[in-house]
Amino acid sequence: MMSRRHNDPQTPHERARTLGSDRLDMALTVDDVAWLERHLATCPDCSAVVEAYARDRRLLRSMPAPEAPRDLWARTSVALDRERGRRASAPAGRSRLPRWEAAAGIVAILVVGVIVGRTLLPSGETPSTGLASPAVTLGPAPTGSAPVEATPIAVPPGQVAWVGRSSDGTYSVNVANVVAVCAQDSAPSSDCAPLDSTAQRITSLKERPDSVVLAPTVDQAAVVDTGTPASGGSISIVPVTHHGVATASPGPDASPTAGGSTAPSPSPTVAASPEGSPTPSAPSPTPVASAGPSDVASPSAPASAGPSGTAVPSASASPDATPGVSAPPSATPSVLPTPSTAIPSETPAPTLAQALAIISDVVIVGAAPIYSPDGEWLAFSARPAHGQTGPDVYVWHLGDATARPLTRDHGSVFSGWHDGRILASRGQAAIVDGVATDPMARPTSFLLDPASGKERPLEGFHGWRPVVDPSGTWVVYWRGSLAWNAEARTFVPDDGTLVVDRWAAWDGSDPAPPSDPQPLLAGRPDAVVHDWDVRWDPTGRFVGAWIADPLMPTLGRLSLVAIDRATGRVDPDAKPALKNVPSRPGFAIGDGRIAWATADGQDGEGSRLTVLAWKGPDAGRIRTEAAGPNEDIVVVR
Amino acid sequence: MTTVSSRTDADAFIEDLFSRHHNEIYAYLVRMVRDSELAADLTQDAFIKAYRAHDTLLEPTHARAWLYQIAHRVALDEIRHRKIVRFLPWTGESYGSSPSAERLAMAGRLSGPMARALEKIPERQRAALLLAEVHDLTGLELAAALGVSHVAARALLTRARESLRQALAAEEAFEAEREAAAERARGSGTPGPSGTVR
Repeated sequence: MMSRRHNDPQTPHERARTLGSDRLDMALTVDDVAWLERHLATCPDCSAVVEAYARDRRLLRSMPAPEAPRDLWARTSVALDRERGRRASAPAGRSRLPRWEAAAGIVAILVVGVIVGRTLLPSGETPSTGLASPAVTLGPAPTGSAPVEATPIAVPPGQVAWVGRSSDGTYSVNVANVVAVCAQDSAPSSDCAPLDSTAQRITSLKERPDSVVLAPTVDQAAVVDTGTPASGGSISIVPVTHHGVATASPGPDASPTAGGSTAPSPSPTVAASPEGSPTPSAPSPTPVASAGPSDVASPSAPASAGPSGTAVPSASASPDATPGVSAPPSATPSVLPTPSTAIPSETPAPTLAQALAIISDVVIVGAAPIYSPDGEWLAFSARPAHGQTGPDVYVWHLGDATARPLTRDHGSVFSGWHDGRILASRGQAAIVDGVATDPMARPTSFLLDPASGKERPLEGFHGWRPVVDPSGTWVVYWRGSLAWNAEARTFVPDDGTLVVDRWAAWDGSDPAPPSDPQPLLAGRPDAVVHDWDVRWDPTGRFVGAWIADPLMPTLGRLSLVAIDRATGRVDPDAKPALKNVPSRPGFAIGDGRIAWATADGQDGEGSRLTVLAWKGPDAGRIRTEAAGPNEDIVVVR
Repeated sequence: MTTVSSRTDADAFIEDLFSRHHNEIYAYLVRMVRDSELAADLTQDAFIKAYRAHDTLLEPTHARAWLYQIAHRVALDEIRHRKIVRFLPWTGESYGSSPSAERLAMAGRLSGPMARALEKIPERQRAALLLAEVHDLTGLELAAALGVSHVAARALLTRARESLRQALAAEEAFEAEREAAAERARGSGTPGPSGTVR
């Protein structure tokens, strides 16, 4: 049997046998096929082994299939009846809802403000209790006549944004405000006005994005097409209509009435329809850059040859961009029109957004692109869609025409921001000519200065894609071993799990020894973690953790995990709780709220965006209308 | 895609799942535990667990892989907890049925050395081989069933193929040696290793 130590590189014979096994299950690359054939031609032992693999497969497949007993169903049926009886005899009234949700037996009607993504108001902000105030009442009840059946659950004001299909065939990025939500067990149709009824479109896109990230301080968004090796992706910057969230300088005005948003008191006619249709008579007072349909987030700059002769991502302005956008602006934030006034009460015209392609013909890997907290930088990692190299960390600065790579090792992935620097990870194995010298590796992470690209290692830290809480106390990361993935030309998590650990020790700011890492998703027996998205809320109290389904990575399960700030341990009794909720990739988390989208067909409905918001022990939800068939809502981060 | 959410749906779901997949799940479990009666009990256990956990299935089109995941865990739990060491031939004989003479002959011819070789490799490797080679799970399905990453599943499958090759070679060498000894015994008129004298 082949055996080797963890860090031993594969010998040519081992590689031949591995490829000989792999080719029984998948198509090898042209290079691998050529290499294998050359090796087998000169190595009769390996040739015999590879032939034996195929022979053994035939033998296995020719084994007769045992037949199930004829009474197996009868036996199983009896056991199922016992199981039903056991359930029926369980204490009645057990709600499937978490206790906190059941306790929140109050019904809400008002939808007014949600935030998520950029969207977060300062945690200290006190929400208004004036939920019935006409000044904040949006939606179809202009006279405030919406039925108040019970006390709504007031939550800190904020916004939520999402992408949905518009009636004109474009995709609209919508924003809605919420300061109150509905009890979980209230019927949405009667108790909650859907979020759509209060939404305002802030930009339009021609094509459906994989994700959209709102900048925190300027009115723009990064539109991400993740891409595949067959079809390169891109990141484009688009302007968005100012939607009136006082994030930069919250003050006394930032009350729900004035500012859950800084917008003027919206009238019922303000709201865009669920489909984002404009009000026909509404003018378009906001100078949103507009362009023809071909200008929308469809950059296609070709890959260019790098110094090594391999293709490198092309980080260039979209040829479709208008001069005002494609030329590198000298000052920020003038790269994109930034309305200086609050959102008008009229719905903007549904113009298609101009796109500035900052990188194209790539596959986005690692954590989703994230703006720095000051909004000056956008960081991400990508690899060429058609090249032979792995990923590098890229950064784009507000005002620049293109993104630029910060790493050159073709093996680094972006993880997040911490203290003004970029966190990134790589495997501890050299990569030569696009191939790892060792198929297995330990992960390591490091900090990058976004301006200089200077690296600072995290000595002794062997975590993958660390995400640090806003206070710099705790970190969530993947702990385990990495395996080389030849198709992705990068290391990927192999066997391991997500853990919570004390960050300060690793960061060097705390001489105390690291804590014992604690599992983030303890008690989840099927926690096969291949891909994930983990983010902290601004308080550092909650972590949103989305784990991709191993069989269908475009679906996953979202959990909201409470962390004991003193110990770093998961608090299983904390409220609210959200556990393994089916959701699409990409959620948004803010202070007192988390938003996610269900996939088309989930629970027999179209895709919906759901917001769970809480204030103290009270919590509730609010949703959008279900999207149409085959349309999935995208949550804006 | 829909998620089965009500109890009525759960009943229909499990009945449909059983009618579609009970034979292959039973076959997999027989091959894993090498005991037809025990495999029947484990099949029943697997479907009860599936019934209890039906609302964790995100995508109904993945029900088969999901069921194999449950069956795999049931098998491993059984193997590890009861420390099964005995070997029963894979004759296809099972509770409530009588295998045909042809099937027995086929089983004896094809699964003797193979069955013993499979018995000798680690159970996770055996599971990987059976699921991939016999039950035709795709790479992603195999990873999900085994509870490991796609990369780890492929690596496990490679190790399993190598283990089986070596185990099968040892079995075949043993068989050849035994037959040679029997031949020598026949030539000399003394009992061979099998105790038979022609």
